[in-house]
Order: sequence, then structure tokens, then C-alpha cells
Amino acid sequence: MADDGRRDAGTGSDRRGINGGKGVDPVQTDTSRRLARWRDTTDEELMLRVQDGDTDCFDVLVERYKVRLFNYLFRLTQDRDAAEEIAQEAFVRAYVHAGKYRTIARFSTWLYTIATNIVRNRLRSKSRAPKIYSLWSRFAGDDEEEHRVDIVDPSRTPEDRLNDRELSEVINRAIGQIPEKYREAFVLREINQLSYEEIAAVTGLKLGTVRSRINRARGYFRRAVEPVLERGLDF
Amino acid sequence: MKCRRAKNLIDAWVDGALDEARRAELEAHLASCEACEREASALTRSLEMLRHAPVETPAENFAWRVRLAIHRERQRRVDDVSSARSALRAWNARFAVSAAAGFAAILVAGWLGLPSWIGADGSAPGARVTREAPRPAAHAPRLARRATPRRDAMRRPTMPSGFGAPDSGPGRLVSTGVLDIAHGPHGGAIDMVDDPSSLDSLVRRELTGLSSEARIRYLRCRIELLQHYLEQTASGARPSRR
Repeated sequence: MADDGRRDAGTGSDRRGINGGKGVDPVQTDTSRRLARWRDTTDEELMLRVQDGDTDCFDVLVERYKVRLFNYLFRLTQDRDAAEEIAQEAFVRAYVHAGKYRTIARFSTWLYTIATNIVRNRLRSKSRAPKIYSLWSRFAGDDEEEHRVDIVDPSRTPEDRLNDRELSEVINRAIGQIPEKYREAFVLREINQLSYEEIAAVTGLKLGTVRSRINRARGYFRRAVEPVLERGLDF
Repeated sequence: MKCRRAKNLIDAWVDGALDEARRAELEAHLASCEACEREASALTRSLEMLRHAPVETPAENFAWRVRLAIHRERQRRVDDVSSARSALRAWNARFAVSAAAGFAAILVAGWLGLPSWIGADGSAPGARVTREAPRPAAHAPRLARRATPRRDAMRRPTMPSGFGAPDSGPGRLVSTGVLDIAHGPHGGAIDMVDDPSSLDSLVRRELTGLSSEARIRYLRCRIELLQHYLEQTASGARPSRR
């Protein structure tokens, strides 16, 4: 499990970080020490310890999964704040309902399931809520964009960072073209690199449905990025 | 391989899920079919782009915020439990006070109302009329002793016309539990009776064997006794034995 965790977006060692991760963090050394201590312990073993009341072990799980869960949610919702909020809620729920966790399921699957359900509930309530258009939202949005401060990865040149940002936006726009119905499975597969079986477990869909949804989503994504690829985007 | 089949296999080929033979067959088709090859390479390249997608990271203090949220959630649950407990305690206290007050009220009511309910001689309620009432005549049949009034007795009683009764004031209906007596301006109860089937069955049985004159005497006697009982009850006095 821990090996599998290193495979996808979680560690950032095999991928470039848009925000880096080398910012000044007063608890960084403490966290690193804690992570090092539990390095060889699987997620499931950590959860058993959490069930026994060891909160430190849950902190380790948060550290292990915060990036990959955030990436999944960010690509799914296309909204950084919403993604953070949902990720936080998912972790809280996972902690509160730790007693319900059974080791027959992988922790990652369980966590993604919780997060996916939160997203679905939000989308459902959003679709039910009346739409309110504010005259000021456009300006507020511009303002927010202008004042957003990203933590800079010093290992990346300004040009790299610009490319990263452009690539991230292209990807987000393209994923935004995929109907919501197909998006979950697609992001879990292509961003978080979960297996089809895991996606079926997370989404509660049959394996065949997962496959067909991913294939359809790939079609939407391909058509959305084709013009950009033809233009010769560097990545 | 036809293009349609090839297009169906491209996704599995991208996933590396095709067996050796199929993969070779598809790759041979892609080498010969430009349209399919273009589609396959577009898909591969677009997915390749995702492999290079920059990793988005949450805010630096994300883990700390999660910890804080967990702490708050635990606190909230503890508060919920303690507030539920205190509510239960408060409810228990209120319930105890209410129960004590209710019990006391029942005791007081019982102490005040019991003598009038059971009668001075300790007889059961409903038996007063027949027990306390003297027998009007030797041949008069005993009235039924019934503790609770019959349902139909609460309705307006009926009897065949022709039975006269003394005029006894303004019309009112009184249920005695044995026989309903209506005092009307035109001859009282008996005149107002229009359906004999609603009469007390025992009274009806007593009346059946009697001649008209005997019936009248019997009923007048009962009415007199009941009238006496009513007057005493209305004045607050306990009906006396006669």
C-alpha cells in the first residue's frame, strides 16, 4: 500500500510541483520525523492504530494522502478552495468514522469513496440551489486571481512555472469539457492512476461501466486538447 | 482488422490490457491505417500530457487545518453528548417534579372525592338508587342494579304513550343509570317516551306481565322515588333511606 502510494500523485517525487513544497514550515521537521518513523507501516495498519486512539497515526495518513486527494478533488471540481474544503471534510469524516473502517478495503479506496460522496452531495445540493448572479462576482474573481500567492518552488525557473501554470489550466479546461458523469472515473484513472477495480470500488459502479465511462471521457478529453497539442504546447 | 474493431481496442491498447496476439494485430492495423493511427496517437499524446500534469498542492497549513477541524469535531461531539446528558438530567428533574405534583393531586382528589364516590355507607357507586330506594309496593319488581349506565340509557328514553306522570316542572332529562326520566310540561317522563325498545330491559320485563293500571302504578312509584333521589342529590344531601 505504501509502495502504491508512492506511485501516484502523493509524493510529488516523480512529478513537478506547481507550488513546490519547500516553503518554510515550522513543523516540517517534526512531520518529516513522524513520517520517517511510520514509513514502513501500511495505511491499513495505521488505521488500526487510529481505531485504538492513536491520533499521530492519522496525521501520518493525512500527510501521505493530502496531495493526491487534493489533486483528485481539484481536477474534479476545478476549484482550489472547494477542493481543499472537501479534502479537509473527507479527512475529518475518515477520522470520525475510523471505527467503521474494515481492513478488507484499502484505506485509499475508502478515503476516495468518502471524498467522492462529498463531491456528489455538493453537486446535488448545488443543482437544487437557486442560481444567484452577483454583479460584483466578476470583479471579485479578478481581484482574487490577482492577489493569489503561490508558494514558489525555487528549483523551477520562471519560465517553467509559467509553462506549468499554462499546462495546468489547459488540463483543467479540458477536464471541464468532460461531462460530470464521466469525470470521476477519468480523474481517478488518469490523474490518480487507480486501477479499474479500485475505481469501481470508489464510485460504486460496475467494472464494465467504469471502463466505458473512462473511454468516453478520454474521447472528450482528447477532442478538447487536440487544438492545443496541434499548436505545440510544451510539456 | 477493420477500423471499427481497431477503434474499440485502442483504449485497451493504451492501458496495456491487450494480449500479445491482439496487440500485434492492432499495431499492424495502425501501421497501415492513417485515420486510426492518428486517433491512437492523439489519445496517447493527450494522456501523456496528463502524465506531465503539474502536481497541485494544498495550502501549506492544510494538515494543521485538518487537525484543527478534527479537534473541533471531537469537541462538538463531546459537547453534543454532554448537552444531551444535561438535557436528560433537566428532563428527569422536571419529570420528577411533575410526577410528584401529579401524584399529590391524585391523592388530594382521592381524599376529597372518595367518600362521595363510594357513598356514606360504603356501597359501590351506581347501586345507590336501588339500594337506598325503598320498595314502593310488595308487587313492584326490583329494578336492575347496574353500576354503569347503559349507552342507550343516555339517550332520550321512549315508552308507549298513555302512561301519565305528574307534571314536574320544566323539561329536563336526567339519567339515573336505570331509567331515564324526562320531566316535561305535559306529564313528565312517560309521555316523552316514544320507543319502548330503549327502555331498560329489566323494567320492560317487569312491565310486560302487568296490566295497564299496574304499570302506571309501578312507574309512578319509581318516578316518585327517583324524583326524591334527584331532589336530595341536587340539594347536596346524601339520599336517605326511606
